[in-house]
Amino acid sequence: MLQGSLTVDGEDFTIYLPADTSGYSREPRAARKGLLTAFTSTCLAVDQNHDGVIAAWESYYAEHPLRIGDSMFDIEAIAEDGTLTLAPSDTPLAGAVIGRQAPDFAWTTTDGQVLRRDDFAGRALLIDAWAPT
Amino acid sequence: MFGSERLAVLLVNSGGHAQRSVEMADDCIERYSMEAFPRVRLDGAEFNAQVAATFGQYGYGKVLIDDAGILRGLGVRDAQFQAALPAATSTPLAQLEGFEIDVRVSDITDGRPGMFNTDCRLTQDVMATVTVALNLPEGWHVYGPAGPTPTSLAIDYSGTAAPSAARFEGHGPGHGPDEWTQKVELSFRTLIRKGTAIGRHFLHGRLSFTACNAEGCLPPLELPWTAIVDAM
Repeated sequence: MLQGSLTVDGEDFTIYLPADTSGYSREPRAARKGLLTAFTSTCLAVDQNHDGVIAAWESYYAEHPLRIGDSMFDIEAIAEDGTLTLAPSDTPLAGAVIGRQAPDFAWTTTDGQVLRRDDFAGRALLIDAWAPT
Repeated sequence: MFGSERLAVLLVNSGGHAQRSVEMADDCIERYSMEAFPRVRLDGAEFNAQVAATFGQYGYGKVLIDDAGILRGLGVRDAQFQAALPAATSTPLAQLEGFEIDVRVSDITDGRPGMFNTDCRLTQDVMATVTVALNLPEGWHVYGPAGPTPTSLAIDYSGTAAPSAARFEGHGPGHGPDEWTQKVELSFRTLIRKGTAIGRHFLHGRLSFTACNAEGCLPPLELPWTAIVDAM
């Protein structure tokens, strides 16, 4: 496991990369086919809550813009030695960080209504993602 | 059980658009009396593109966002969801305008005395005082330990920082028994044991209080706080 650090908005974060002998990839290594095909780019972790433990929700795939704290970054490159090149991204806030602002979304309901996170402001929201099959 | 003034539910069905899947989804929704909730239907690839790209690599499961828009749980199973739900729905923000929590850490003792000590662990216990203050807007009051609904602290013990019982201090003239109108402070000493790695230690907790004004009282409230102790 490789480890590095980055200061974002005055807050220090530790970033972890697996010791990947097959090489790193910021792009998917294989085409996704449907829901159950896993992501195939390099998975990296950010200790978002500074507890020294990598929780499942602190792991992210390099094919998506990376959220660190409350800022978004594009992963421009992952060198063979694991050096990450990040650039500030204009991508809207995305990615789960428990205890921080949830990302926005805009989903169309089956009756044609577009719902965003702010439509639920002032109420807690449970998103139940599921499938009957 | 789901859906109330405090909690909204959004169903995201990734079961695809095949007629059989649609029928099964409708059957489930009817069986569990979820017809009233807004529903989103996404096929597999679209599900990945929208849900997973928004919240991370997660697929199925629950996402819990509190009433202030803060993510409180992800992929939560039912028991975890039940535990997270009260905190996620306990802050009616519209009623809390002007209430502020302030957390201070002071009187931190030296954990590595000696000029030439290069050990990366504390060589003696570190003590610090943590003070959690609740500032009240004009016209509101809360109660101290002798009041009808005392203000109190719950402190999550993380394993490295052992807290003592909190001491209460109230500010501002009140009218009732142990009633405070401007600010209340709860402070405690915390101990980080020698042998612990030097650096930043986080202590989390919740401040519980009931706020009242001349017209009545809000429901009991619980606000989270975090203290940072730099032990070295």
